[in-house]
Amino acid sequence: MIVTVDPPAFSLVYFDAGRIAALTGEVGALVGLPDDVRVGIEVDEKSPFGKAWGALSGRSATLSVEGGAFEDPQRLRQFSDAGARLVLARLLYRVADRLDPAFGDPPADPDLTKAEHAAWDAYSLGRYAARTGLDAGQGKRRYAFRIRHGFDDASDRAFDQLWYGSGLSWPDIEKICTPA
Amino acid sequence: MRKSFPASDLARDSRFRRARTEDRFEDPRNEYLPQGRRPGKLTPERPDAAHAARQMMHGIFVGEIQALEGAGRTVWDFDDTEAPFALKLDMARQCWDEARHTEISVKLGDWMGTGIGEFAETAFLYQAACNPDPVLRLTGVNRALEGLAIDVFNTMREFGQACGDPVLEFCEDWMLADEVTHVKMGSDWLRRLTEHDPERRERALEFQRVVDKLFSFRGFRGEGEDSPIQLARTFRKMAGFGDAEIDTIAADARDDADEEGWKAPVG
Amino acid sequence: MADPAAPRSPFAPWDRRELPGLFTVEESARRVGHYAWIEMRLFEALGGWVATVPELDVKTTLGRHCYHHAWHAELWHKRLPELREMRPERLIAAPNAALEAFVAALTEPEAADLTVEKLVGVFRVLLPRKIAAYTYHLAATSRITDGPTIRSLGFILDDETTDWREGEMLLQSLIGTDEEVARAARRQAELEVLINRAGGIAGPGSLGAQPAPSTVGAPS
Repeated sequence: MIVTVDPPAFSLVYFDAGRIAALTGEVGALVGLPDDVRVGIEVDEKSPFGKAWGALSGRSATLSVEGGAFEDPQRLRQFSDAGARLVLARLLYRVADRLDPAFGDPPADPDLTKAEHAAWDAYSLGRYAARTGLDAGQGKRRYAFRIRHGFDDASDRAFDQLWYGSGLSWPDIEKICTPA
Repeated sequence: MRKSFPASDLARDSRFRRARTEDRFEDPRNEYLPQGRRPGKLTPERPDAAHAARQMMHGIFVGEIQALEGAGRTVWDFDDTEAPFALKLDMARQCWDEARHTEISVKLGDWMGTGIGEFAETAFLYQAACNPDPVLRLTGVNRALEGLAIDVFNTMREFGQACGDPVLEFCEDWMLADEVTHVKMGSDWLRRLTEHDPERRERALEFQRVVDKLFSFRGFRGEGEDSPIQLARTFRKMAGFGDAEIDTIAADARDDADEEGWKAPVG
Repeated sequence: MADPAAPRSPFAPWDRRELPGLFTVEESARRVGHYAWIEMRLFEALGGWVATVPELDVKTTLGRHCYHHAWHAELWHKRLPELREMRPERLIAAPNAALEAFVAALTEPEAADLTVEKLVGVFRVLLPRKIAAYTYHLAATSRITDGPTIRSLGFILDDETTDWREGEMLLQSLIGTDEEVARAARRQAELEVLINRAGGIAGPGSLGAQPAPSTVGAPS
């Protein structure tokens, strides 16, 4: 996996491009991204907000991250390794899924509905949790999922299927999230 | 034990981290914030709804701790000549209420996936509870800050309603009832303690306005569609605020929101 | 069904209350004034300590107990005019300088690492003394003439025993090492000496007739 980080140096926040590249490589390997995939991380250090999304073109992925997404919520302008890992896991699992022909053909990130975002995020971070043995913010993801899919047992069952699932395709995810 | 306890000494366990207010205002990113790029009213439609609600919940949690500490200090800091016994009884009652709110907030944080200390804490709220004049302290805390609490709880209650979260809606509604009581206490004591001292009442109301402005957070609390915390007119009236007073808070919030730059508060 | 016209005693068959009691109106008022004073000092201290303790469970417990003791103080305040004391503030006082010294020592700790010392003072020294004095009052006063005080004592004792149990459990959960056991014991002994010199929360006679406390080492 070839990783580039832009900007190469930060002046408004205490981030280190080398550290971001290293974490990306580490999480990418854990996710199972092939060696020939290029991943470019574009960090908007001016933004304290936390939006992060990805785009794939051939074997090249571009991850756009507002600085707040990598920021330590306890320490203004400081980088959070743990937080960045979760953001990268979420985005890189999507890249890996999109590169997998068996996964299907999900809409591009900007075209996903909020409910689809919540479902895919649950599936991505559930796999990350299983691979690392970390909690990976299950409580947060469950709450985000409930907001989009309902505060009821059916929604919780769907979340559990996604979080503890593996080998799911995009049609599987859509089916799990469709109320009976 | 001292009779005045500074915000810098508030006791916390190792999970908490204090953010310096100056750091927030001196954040060099503030100057790059695009005009109009504000998180907006807290609704399920916001893409970051879950995160924003959790962050606000954590802010409520630390706010409740500080409100508990502030009410407790009012019970201790003043002797019987400075603060009547009945006022201290009200503040002791408020201690119990804020202790309950702290417990509720911890449970709600769990429910929403937030950990204790996940976000930095500022001591804005407690600082307002350090005024050496009990009337000013009570006005700043029970009218400005508890008034803000009415707005926050109503915003969260409506958010719970809108996204169908029965637990959030239920708990916020209960806490909202308590806050209306606390603001009424503040309104009553302001009237009683300054009945024959209009100059002191004026100073207290001015202090309240300063605190209110501070907590309007450059439009963070207001009536605009882009204000994450909405001014709760109905509940404020129940608590003893007059229309003119609420109009002033709304106008101050609008003025603040128009200022260049905006930064969501944390904790 | 019993004949509604048949005469019945005004006391139910199981009601064994009797008229005699150890306290006159004045003595009852004197004690109630001391109770009000100690409840006030206690709720003020608990409120002040909230900001100084880092343990979240202790913080919220102090906040809750602060109100309990404030309410007790309010009950005693309200009782005084009913006991013919039209200037309640006259009687709302410490029974002696020794109890004032005890309260000063009790409320002295402030630092964040002194939670054990704060809790020991309240839950291992003061609350047991309060429970003892209130229980004695309940046992000694006329169960018919002093009914309103008895009713308040019932509510208050219920709070006190519940709060004492909760505080003791907090302490047991905070004390982990031999050194902490020793710290707690030292603190308890220091404060016990002071409250013993005072004779309890209502002064000598808090528990009725008792030997005069030793004055060795007591402040003159």
